[in-house]
Amino acid sequence: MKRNIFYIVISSTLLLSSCSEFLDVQPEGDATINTYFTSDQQAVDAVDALYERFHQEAVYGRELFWEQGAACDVVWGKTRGYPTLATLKYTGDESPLRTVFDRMYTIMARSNYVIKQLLTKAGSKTLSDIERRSLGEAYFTRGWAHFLIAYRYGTDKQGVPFIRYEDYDNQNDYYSIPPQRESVIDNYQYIISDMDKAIEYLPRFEEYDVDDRGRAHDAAAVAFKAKVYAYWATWDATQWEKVIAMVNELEGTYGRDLADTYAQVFSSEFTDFWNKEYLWTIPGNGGSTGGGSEFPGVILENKAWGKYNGWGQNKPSYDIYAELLKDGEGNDRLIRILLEYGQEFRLLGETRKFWSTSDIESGFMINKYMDPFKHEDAANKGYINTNGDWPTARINFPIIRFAEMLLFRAEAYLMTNRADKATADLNRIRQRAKLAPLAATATMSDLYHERRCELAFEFTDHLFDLKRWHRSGNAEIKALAAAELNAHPRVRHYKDRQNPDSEYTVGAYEDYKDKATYKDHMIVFPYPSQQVVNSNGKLKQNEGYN
Amino acid sequence: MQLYVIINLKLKCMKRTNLRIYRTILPLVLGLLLSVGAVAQQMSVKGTVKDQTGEPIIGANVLVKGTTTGVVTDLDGKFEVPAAKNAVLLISYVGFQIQEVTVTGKPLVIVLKEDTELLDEVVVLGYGASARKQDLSASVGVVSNTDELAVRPVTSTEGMLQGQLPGVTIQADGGDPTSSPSIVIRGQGSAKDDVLWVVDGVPGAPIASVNDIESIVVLKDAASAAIYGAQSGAGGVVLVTTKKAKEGMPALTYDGTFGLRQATNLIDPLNAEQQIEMRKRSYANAGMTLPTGWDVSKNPWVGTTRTDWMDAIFRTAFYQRHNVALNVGTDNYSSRISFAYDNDEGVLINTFNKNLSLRYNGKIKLNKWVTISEDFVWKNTESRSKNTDNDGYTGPIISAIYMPASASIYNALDGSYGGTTTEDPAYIAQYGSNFADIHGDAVNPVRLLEAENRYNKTSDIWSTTSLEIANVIPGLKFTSRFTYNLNSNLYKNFNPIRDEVGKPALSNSLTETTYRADAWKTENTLTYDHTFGEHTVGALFSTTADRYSRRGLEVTGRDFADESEFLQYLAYAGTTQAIDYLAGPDANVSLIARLAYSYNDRYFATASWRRDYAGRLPKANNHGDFPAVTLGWKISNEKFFKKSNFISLLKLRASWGRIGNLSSIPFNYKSPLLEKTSWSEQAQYGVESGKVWGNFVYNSRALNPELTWETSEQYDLGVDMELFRNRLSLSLDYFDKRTYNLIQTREMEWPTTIGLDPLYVNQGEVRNRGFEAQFSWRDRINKDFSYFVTGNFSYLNNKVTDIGLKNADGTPGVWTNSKRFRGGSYIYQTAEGEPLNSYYLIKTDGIFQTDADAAAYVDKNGNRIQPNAVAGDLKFVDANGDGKITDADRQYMGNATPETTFALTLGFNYKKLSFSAMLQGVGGAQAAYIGKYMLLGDVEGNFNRSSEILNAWSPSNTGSDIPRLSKNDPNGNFSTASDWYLEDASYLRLKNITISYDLTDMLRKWSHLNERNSRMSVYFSGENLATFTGYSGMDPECGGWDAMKYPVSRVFSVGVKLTY
Repeated sequence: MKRNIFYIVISSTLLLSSCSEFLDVQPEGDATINTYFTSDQQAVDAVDALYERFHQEAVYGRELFWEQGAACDVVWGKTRGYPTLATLKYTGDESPLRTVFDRMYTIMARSNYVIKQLLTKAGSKTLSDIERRSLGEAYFTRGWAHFLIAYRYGTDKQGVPFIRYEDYDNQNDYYSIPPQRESVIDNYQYIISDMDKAIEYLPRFEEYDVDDRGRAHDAAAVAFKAKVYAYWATWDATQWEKVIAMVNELEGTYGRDLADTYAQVFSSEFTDFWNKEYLWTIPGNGGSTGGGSEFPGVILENKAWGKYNGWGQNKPSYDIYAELLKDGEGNDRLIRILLEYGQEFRLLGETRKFWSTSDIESGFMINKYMDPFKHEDAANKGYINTNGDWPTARINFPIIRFAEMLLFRAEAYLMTNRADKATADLNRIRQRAKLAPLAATATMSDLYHERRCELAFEFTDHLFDLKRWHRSGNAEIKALAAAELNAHPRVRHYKDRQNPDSEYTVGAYEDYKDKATYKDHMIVFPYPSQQVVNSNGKLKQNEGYN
Repeated sequence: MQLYVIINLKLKCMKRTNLRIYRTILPLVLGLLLSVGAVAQQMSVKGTVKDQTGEPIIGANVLVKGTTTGVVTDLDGKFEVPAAKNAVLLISYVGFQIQEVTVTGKPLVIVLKEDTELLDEVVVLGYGASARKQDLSASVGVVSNTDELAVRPVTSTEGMLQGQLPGVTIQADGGDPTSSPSIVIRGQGSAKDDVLWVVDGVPGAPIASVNDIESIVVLKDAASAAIYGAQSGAGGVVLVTTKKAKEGMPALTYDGTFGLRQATNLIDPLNAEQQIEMRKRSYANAGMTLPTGWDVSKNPWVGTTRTDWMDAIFRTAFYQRHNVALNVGTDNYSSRISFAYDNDEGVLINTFNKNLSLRYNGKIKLNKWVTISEDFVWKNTESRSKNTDNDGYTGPIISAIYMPASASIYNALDGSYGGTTTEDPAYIAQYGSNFADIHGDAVNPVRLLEAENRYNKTSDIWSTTSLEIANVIPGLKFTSRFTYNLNSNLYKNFNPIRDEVGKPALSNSLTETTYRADAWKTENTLTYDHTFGEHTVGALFSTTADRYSRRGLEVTGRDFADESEFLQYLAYAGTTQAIDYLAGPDANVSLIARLAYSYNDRYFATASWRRDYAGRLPKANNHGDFPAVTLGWKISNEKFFKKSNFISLLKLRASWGRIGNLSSIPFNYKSPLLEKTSWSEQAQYGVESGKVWGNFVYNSRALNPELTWETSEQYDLGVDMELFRNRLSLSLDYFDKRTYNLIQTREMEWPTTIGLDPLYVNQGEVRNRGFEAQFSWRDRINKDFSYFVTGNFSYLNNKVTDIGLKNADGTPGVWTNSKRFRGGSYIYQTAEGEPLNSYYLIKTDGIFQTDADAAAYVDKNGNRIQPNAVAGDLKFVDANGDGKITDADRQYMGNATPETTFALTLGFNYKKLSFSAMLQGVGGAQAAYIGKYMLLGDVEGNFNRSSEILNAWSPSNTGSDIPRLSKNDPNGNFSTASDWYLEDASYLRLKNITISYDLTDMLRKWSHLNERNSRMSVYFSGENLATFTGYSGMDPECGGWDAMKYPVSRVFSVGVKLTY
């Protein structure tokens, strides 16, 4: 028996001594954070994770657009649980604001990791071409995400939270709460510096082959810089010169220009995707592996007259219709931008006359992204997504296009008293849209009209245009902005909603009628209250929202 | 003859009157005695066996001690057995105490004493330790009437345990056949309060069938659970002992239960006419134009009720459970094989959980020192269900409400599933449209439950081999055990094209996943038990080690040109994508020691210590110690204590212990890993060549190298009493449990601006204090009639005593929780001094009855507090008095954990009939009936609603507590997280009634069965018969978050128990 005990003791001792090895289990199937970036494919996979958030419903799919309800171009077409976005009674907790906010910081953190790791690798090895490009893409996405937060949450009195991993050596620093920068101008400087780094590492668009077109390229970074300077000019008018310089560079160095036709920009043919006007897009596609932005399906008539899972959201108001109509009955741009009753259009191979019965009436539908839907059997041919819960379509969905650049340059000229040059830029846009040139030298009113109409229903943020104009030193544009910000959108009410030729009256949109008076602090949104709480005092709420 | 005796013995052992406790030790004791043969001078001994009332006992076992010779008493209680003079006879009968009588040569009269004293039971305590129940100094709950509970139509062990023990709170959390109720022991200590299930000593092993359970022991206090250390789960430990192989001739038993289940108290959606009426009012009240499709003259389709969708998705479901057990054994080798099959159909169509299991238990005695035993379980499961709790979008129950009653289940044109409206081209030609737009993206719930073609089978195999060396030194025993587990699953799901109007999806897909999990555990234990005079010592030392890993493969195929069932294979997919993975490996090691000491059956003390090492934590930080002590004092055995008929046992208990919760830390937590996701969707680039994202890899994990397990410490004070000649037993306990180092995702100081998933931190302390009482009264009036009443009650106070973080101003912070329903607001937040997961809501103060009332609700400056409110809107309480209704007005309003839980069971036996009824309930529980957001409000989506919405407040219906019906909600009646959603979820339920009848006599008219002492009983049982509650949803037992979860159902069943 003693021997037995002896064996037991021996065996348990053995068990214990080998225990530390036994416990040293190692996972497989996932890389650790410090052993990544050993091959080009790894860099490509890491960069995919930077782009993918932007494609989601929570950003360019739909959510980023709801805030436009506070301007007068768009009505929601349906009741939503956050009417405060349309009535300017912001809480910061409206789900579209919250989710976009979270996603942008996720992208910044992911980009930060890629930048930090690749810079570290570059310290000891030469990066491959793909790794250099990846580094550029990470700077680009960090700047892009940072920008969407900066102008929507930052003011001259209080910037937005931002950290750069390359400023730190200790991983624990990445776990600290990013400091809220002193002024949004500081944030803009960081964004410009990220875009400059992006330009340094990214290739020209023309250098990409067919498999890589759609990736960040240097002209896209320049375009973002132009937009950053334009917004920066809200707080510091000297930035307008830089806007002009950036747009000149796009035109000169990068050979960007307006596409031949307005329709080409929104075409559902791959051959039109990379036209002269292309700067930055989310390329979309349909079929069973489609992707991109779901916005084309979101704005399609609810259930698409029984043909497809359109979501019936975000419809044109009578106000934008009236603005477009100023360029003449049935003008090219008007027809291309929206559908009105009786207007003919093609849907899945059939010609229809437009009418709409869904939810809350507007009498119009956005037509800009309808090209992919015209094809017969569009889903199976790959023009629209076979999954109605993810209704993407084959379109090079614009984020920034050259027309917006021209409009910014025109604005810069107007703000720096060079109205003649602004006239030329505006007329280029009008002529491309087959509209008569301006009758006289351009004014800020002309710029307002042109920017509002040309970019209608794009993610160029018309609402923010109004908000920044409301702070403008130019009384003319300030008055126009104030008028639109304080108006409730109008719509058409049809006697027989199913009849394309029905009579109608123009009246107020029937939902969210209790709009607040616009005040300048509303240029930014309040931070999500939960984030203010969770930051434990380190994230200060924006002025006017306490 | 000898064999015959053994059979008789075995069968007599099984014979038992209902509601008496089936005893495990008896056959073992007998078996040991039988194994030693003896030859001596024989004589014939005669005798009579009677009970205390003088009635003869029929069928009592009489065994000559040390031999295999035995007989059974006849109808007069008489027996005659050959035995040597001075031999000792062992007389036993189930329900009575065993008696030893020395043969004198004269006829013997033996009076057996009733064994109503449940405290004589031996209770297993883990790792081979055990104690007589009356000697326990820790707080342990014992359920030994499992055979009686198993005749109920219960589908899980948890369900069977509900209401059986005070302090063990079991909540159904819905009635999905593929999920089990939740179990919480003595209050929730953390967000993830896992309970460790140990089956026959093996943590995590499955229970083949509820019919295989012999007894269940719940280690309620930390002192008893501490022997499982960090494996305990902060919740505690449940030990399950299954039926084992016994000696005896082949014996076959069959248990069968057949039941019908039905959902009750379902929500009644509006019919077609009512929906139109509701929608008209809703649009009109909002000042909006009604969409054309609601006009019956323009869209007559919408005006006719075609389907009762609740009726379409619910059914009367069939439930069956069968268990066949075969036992055979000699003194050196015994084995038991049982087969179980159960098919638990859910009340939602096409949901089920089927189990086919095989269990083997065998024991081989190699020699007088070495015994080898083997436990083998193979459980083969097939299941299918549908998530009903997915936040209000496409759960089948919520879809059955959303779907208009004018829609039909099947499309009349082609027999496919119907959409929200007609697809008839003639209709569209006539009316211009089928108006699918007015119904939103409601989906056909029948299709949701039926259309996918699914194969989902899991095979779970557990083998445990034990080697036991004993009797070398008296009292010393060495046990070595090795368990191997192989778990594998194949899941295949074909999701066809959904072409119905409403929410079409035009692509199909096939998902196949499979995994294989390998795990082994080993345990080496040395125990020593000895009595020296008045001192009894029990010592235990054990080491354990375990390892786990799981490998899996997931493949998705898309774009099947042909949906025929025989072509739903990956080879026919347009595109396929696959990933594989390794989960784990995980490894753990532990050292365990325990010492028990008692003196003179008066003083009892135990101490235990365990050290755990966890492979998932960094080396510097991978171990923890879990000590425990208990003390017991049997006052009734003191000389100064006068025992009487009134009180026969009085014992005081005190214990303290510490346990940990390892399961709250994921495998390989120590490794800083990148995350990956895979999508087969068009990427940002390469659109012309069809580039898809494929894998993408990102850094989102934040790692806390200091992380350690949740720990819980508990004091327990208890008293046990036996009163009125053991008819009444009473147990009272007070406990104070402190759970600290709670593992949480860091919310505070982790705003989303960090951009990484929140860090796991050890933070905060939760205290659960409570009181438990349990009583049992059992009495036998006469030979034919006995009855019992048992009951338990527990009171629990749960609160967070340390939130673990401070606000910038130094005040305690809060734990936030972002769980929300559709577009609604968050509803949970926890603060110091409040219960865990408190509801944090704005209080309401009724409904404004007039516009003037609403306008008169002003702050101190005369400004309106709710400027958009009109008559029929909710009045929110401006708690902070700032004149606005904001999040700052939220208040803590309790939580979902019941303050009190109680159960009462009464029953009687009259001759062959026995009856029992069980009442079970909870008090002081809250539930957020969050589904009302979509059922009683018409704001989000143009879906169908509950018929209750027609009772909404209106000038002619001012008594209603449902805010006015309106298409928009400027006052935020529905979007505000208010206590309008909060309801009292207390209830009292008539949980079960069981009637059984013993048909043995009938059976024994056949002489062959009579010789074998065959037995048969039949049962009738009803479960969830009636519920008394003020809760307005389907069922108050919803876990505090009611988003139209799979409801608990009522079951009626019949059963039979047959022993051949």
